[in-house]
Amino acid sequence: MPPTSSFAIDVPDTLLARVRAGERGAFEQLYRRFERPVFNLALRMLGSQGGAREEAADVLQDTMLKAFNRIGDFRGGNGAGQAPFWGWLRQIAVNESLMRLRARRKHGRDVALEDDAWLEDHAPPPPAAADAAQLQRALEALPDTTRSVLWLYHAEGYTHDEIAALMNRTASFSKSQLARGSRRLRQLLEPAETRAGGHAHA
Amino acid sequence: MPDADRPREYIDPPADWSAAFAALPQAEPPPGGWQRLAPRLPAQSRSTQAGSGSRAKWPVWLATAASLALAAAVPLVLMDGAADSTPPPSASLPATESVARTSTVPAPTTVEESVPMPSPVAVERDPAGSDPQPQSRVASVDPTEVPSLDGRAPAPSTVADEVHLDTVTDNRPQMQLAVLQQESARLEALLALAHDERVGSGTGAMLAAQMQSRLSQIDSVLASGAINDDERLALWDARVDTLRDLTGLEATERWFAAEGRAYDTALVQVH
Repeated sequence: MPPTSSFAIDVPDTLLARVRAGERGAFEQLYRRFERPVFNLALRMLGSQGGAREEAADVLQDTMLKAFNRIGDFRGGNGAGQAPFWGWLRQIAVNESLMRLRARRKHGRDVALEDDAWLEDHAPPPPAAADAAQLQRALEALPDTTRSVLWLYHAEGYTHDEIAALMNRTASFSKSQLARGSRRLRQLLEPAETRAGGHAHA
Repeated sequence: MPDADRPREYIDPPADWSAAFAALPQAEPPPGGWQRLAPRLPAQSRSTQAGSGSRAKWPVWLATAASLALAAAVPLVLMDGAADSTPPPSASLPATESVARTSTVPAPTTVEESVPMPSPVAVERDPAGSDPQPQSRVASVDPTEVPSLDGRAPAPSTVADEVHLDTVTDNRPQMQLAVLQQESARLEALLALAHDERVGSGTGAMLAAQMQSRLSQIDSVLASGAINDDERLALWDARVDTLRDLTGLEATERWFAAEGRAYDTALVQVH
């Protein structure tokens, strides 16, 4: 089972109430709390090469703007059984990121066969995965969709069904992308591990 | 030994991909995100009512009025700062230089007066203080009664605030925080309008960079969440102060540029 989200922040109900009332100062507080996680989520999904950092900054802006305009739609809170604010905001950020990925018109290149999900990779990652710089490089080398599925599943805790719904695909597609991505990530990291003896690390 | 030759980060491999991803360092978003977003918030809501054509009218007017007021205020601050012998307009006022300037400087009253909430920061430090009424009753509150608030007692009314002091004490920090946050949002919006890449000076750029750096430090501490209410209040207060200084600097540079003068030269003249 994937873990729950790697980022969880409690938002006081009083703060949410003030934001709902249209208080900009309160929204600024929310912005400053979630600026970093939203930006990082977008960066992971879009990649950090080329103009992706600017794209991620745009995702942050658009996400927060939508959150401000749609805060009335958020019915959650901190009570038992209520949806957390971060989950709601993250959904907006994921949608914004996916929209940009679609705009890149790169989805077509990595359409996976939906029947190869049986090749799921349950082995632990190679030791080189502990090297953040190597892992980031390996993630960058993955196709956008594959990287997004990996991140949503492993880091954000989305289920295959949820990923499928976000991407307008099937759960099998999500599983196959996850399997492919994990294998590819392992391939990218393992050769580096064998060269580790003479490799300088940042 | 193989382990001794391996880089340190290989010693403890992640248990799974989730752990590996979670250990990746967090990137810092580009600075000034809120400054870019803040002007878009009201503009968007208005544009749904009046169309985009009306958007450019009031920000330009606001920017012009505020820039003029700030541009007039900041040089006065600089010139008055060295010899602060000007007596306060009222013996009962807090002895702050900004209050003394309030009576002589045209203020961007439209900015301040549009906010119904009391603004203790504006009363105490705002170089372009907007309240035309002297806050004579504020000084009558013994600051030692609320030492943690550092004399930033809000002035919800100029009449009989001593009577209500006890009743509002519980809400005061929250109210002050809300006021500071509103002030911060206003200043950030103003700053975004006042900033102009085309004008500037080396000294101004250096000062602005220092202030931006200070803002980043404050924001990072605020975002950490590991602070108590008093510290949060003090940080927001410092944030507003820094924003006010930065806005004044940007506006002054624009003003000087419009007059064909150099900001660096003005600084030399003042000091």
